[in-house]
Amino acid sequence: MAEQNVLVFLPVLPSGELVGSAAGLLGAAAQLGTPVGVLVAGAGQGQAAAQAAGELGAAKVYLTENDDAPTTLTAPALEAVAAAWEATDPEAVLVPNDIDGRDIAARLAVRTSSAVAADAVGVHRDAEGVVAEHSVYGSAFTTESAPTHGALIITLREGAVEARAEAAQPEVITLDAAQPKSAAAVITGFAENVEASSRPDLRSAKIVVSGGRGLGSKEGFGLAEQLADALGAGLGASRAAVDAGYAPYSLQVGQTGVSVAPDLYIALGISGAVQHQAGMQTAKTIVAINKDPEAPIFDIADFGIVGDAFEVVPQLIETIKAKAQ
Amino acid sequence: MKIVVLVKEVPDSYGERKLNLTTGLADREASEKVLDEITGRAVEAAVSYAESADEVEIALLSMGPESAESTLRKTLAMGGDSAHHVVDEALLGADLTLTAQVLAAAVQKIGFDLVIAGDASSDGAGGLLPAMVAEQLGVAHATSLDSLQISAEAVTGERAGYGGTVSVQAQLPAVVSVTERLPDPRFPGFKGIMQAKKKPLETYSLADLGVDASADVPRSIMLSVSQTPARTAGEKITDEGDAGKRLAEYLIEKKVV
Amino acid sequence: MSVEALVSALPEGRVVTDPATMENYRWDRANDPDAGTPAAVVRAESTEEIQTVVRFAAEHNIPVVPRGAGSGLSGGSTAVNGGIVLSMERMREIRIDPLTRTAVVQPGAFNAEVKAAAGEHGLWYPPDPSSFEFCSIGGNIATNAGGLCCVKYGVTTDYVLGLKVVLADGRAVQLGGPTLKDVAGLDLTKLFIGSEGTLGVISEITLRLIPAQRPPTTLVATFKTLDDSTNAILAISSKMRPSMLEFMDRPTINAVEDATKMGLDREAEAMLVIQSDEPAEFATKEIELIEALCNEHNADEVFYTADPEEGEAFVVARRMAIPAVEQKGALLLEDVGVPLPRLGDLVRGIASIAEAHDIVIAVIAHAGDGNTHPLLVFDPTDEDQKQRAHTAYGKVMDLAIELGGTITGEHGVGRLKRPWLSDYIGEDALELNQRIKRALDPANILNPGAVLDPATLTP
Repeated sequence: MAEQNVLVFLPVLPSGELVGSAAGLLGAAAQLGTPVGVLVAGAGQGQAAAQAAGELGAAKVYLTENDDAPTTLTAPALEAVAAAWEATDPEAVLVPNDIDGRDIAARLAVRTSSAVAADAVGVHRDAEGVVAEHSVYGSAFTTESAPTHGALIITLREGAVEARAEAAQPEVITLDAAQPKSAAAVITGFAENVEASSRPDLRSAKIVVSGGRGLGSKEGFGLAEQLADALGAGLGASRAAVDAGYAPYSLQVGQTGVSVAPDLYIALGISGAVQHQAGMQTAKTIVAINKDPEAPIFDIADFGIVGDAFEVVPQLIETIKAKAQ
Repeated sequence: MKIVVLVKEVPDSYGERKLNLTTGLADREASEKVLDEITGRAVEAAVSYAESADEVEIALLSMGPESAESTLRKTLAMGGDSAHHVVDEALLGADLTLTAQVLAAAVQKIGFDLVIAGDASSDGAGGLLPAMVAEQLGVAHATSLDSLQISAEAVTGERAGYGGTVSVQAQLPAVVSVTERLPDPRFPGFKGIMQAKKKPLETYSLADLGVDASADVPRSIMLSVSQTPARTAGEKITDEGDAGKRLAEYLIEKKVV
Repeated sequence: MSVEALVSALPEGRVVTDPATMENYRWDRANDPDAGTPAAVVRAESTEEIQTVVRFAAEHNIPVVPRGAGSGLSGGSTAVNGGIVLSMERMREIRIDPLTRTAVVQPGAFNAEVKAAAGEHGLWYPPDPSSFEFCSIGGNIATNAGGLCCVKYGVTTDYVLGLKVVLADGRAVQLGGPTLKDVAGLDLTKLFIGSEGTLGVISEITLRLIPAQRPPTTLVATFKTLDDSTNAILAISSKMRPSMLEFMDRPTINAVEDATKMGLDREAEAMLVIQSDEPAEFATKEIELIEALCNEHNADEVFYTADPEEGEAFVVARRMAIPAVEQKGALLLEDVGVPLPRLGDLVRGIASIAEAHDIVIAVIAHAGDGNTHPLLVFDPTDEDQKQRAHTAYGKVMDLAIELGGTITGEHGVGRLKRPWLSDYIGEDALELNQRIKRALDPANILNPGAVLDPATLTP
């Protein structure tokens, strides 16, 4: 049987770089067949982005370059993926399970009358074809889903797949920007995030440091930032910390907010309500530091410290720095 | 203007939520049913707009088992004008594609200028449905909005994009979904509760909507379901002044830093 | 003293000395700024362990502050410098005996947990302080807590059949027991109910349970004037005993409306929330009669429902009262009660105190039993306003005493209300209190500073 094409939508950041989830998406695609990237980039950014996709395993790239920033929501990416679909007859489509990715998957599924698998944490192939793996109710359950027939459109949880594809020299096929086939919302403005932080993206970071209400104040939350920077980690927060104004909503980890699955999750001053656990308990190793010995986070922590994060963390940073030298 | 709000009943996330290990479906007996938190905010957005504008009619639509009726009544008490309940045994275990098809058919039947939904429910968390309904209806979507302004002709709002915040605008008719950044829903008041008893609540079967659940189109099916072994507590120490050092050793030994 | 000796006298994990953790045990909800720093916190797991702690304290003359869930509102479990906080949080066992309709309960169990355990046998433990989901049964006994349904079903003491108490010398005694009638000796059980941990440490409680409550019919009524509402309360109470009769004044109504947007009438001077739990047909009759009495007293709007779920949605307006007012600033929470005919005088008097001191006082009341909770709201950063609030706090208690009422209906005296105790109960009754305290705890090691002034207790 010929290798099956697996379309992978790879979002391009305003800077021209691929999003952090690109490596996991292509890694997952390679487990199923031939990874075929679909890119929509700004003018002059396309070739570099296509090469970057190749390094992460894309054997072929369908590239659309926009002269201007996109003025319609979802449509440019959707039409690019739809055109690549026409050209490649894929067996699966992988998109990141983020806001834009979900919109693309949703519209494409209806348009092509295909089955969808939302928020998959892994993919594999069985005798019948493509199978998506899911983690349900805060990872209390694991399920597998598959299409009755046809291709499967999958939104993949960021950071969930560790497999990486081998680098390839991609064949780049340029597509013209297509007219939207569906009615679309207009983009009227874009405000770049001011805190262009050097920290890795929370969703795809290997290590995540999250701060909670226990850090006591916005200033206190700086402790989580310090540790994140010392470890090169992504920064997260509990809902209580977000509600208290210590951190922006974009950092919220939990049932509402972002789900993360890093190698190491360090919770500082987070009691660990079930809603929070739902967003992080697939992490490989969980470390919790909390004053309250009865905090539920300790029930799932691989290493728990009953104590004051403000005393433990500086010592931790110092020790790690000393060992690194 | 007619606004349809998509209403979802979910297992209470404060209780234990279970999947039936044979069918792979939510075990509806295992936990209490509540209005999905984000649905409350979607209803609030519609109701507060209706208070500020003339001739706004709000229809509340839910697809779900019999029990969803009491959830619909609760949202009616917040201020909707009518409730619409799609209930059909053939919908048990419906996948996203079928659900979107059914909801879109019901929205068409009710008539709409604007559909408002929560961006992702606390149980499904797929986040795909609003845009799927939009594609079914052939209208624009503006999903996962952190803010929402409604006017007679259009909706505007902001949402997170790659590397920044995107401002979007959609001419009506359109489908929007909102995040938990929107204002808290109001509590149902005495008058609202009393009036809700008298408001119309219609039920629809698949036949009423002209949808065939057994049509030979691709569906997503559940192959297996298993309970993940519960995560257990590992080592737990009390800081005696050296916990930072001990943690560093633990992390280095595990090669995670 | 040496904490090590205490640590080694108890099983591992009972004694906490880490300052960060102990911080959680210094305050109750009164948030006393003068709370002390304990030398140790002990999380006891049995009567024997409590005895060990008290013996140790007696031997070294160290204060012991017993603590349930820390939800007290009068500073009754505020920590004392150098003392031991004796926490009951791990003693949560509940045993229900459906045959005798009794429950044997450890003091750390939450009120809500006792209710739920009784409910599994079709039984009910009625006392329902607003904090029932996060207050301990031991704390309820220590303060003789009340609640919303007390107007019909009585307060905590009406359900206590027996207690196991650890005395100041470390002995444990069983007082009372599972029998409903018991007149052997003085009624010492009652002596410990409401004693706020000053006479002994309660380590086990035998409670009386009654058949489950019937689903209630719920009514809400709003009034344009305060007088109309208090007259309606009097008219209702003189004819029947609803299972809930709650009052909210205008500042409370507005705070709740701000928090819930449920469409309450911001102009109303008062709102009543009333329930009847009589069997269905009688409940309807009772509620209809209440509706008629409200209308007779010029109620503006009256709604009622026999659907329990809708009724609960009505009662939300009352349940949200304290959280809603809390969003307006720091609170001083009063707990004054007056004989029912003086309720109108109390509420009006509080309004003039609020005006005179230029602060907001929101009043909620378990109106059926004359127990009110004026909530004094102030900006904690405004020193002058804070001072005015504290002055008004005292004035409200003075007013209650003047009207023949009490300075605390259900929260206890704790440390916060100690200065007003003698004005209320009088010199002779105070002296009796002191004599009993000296007899039972001569060294004053049990919760010193709560209820009675330590200076008056020196042997």
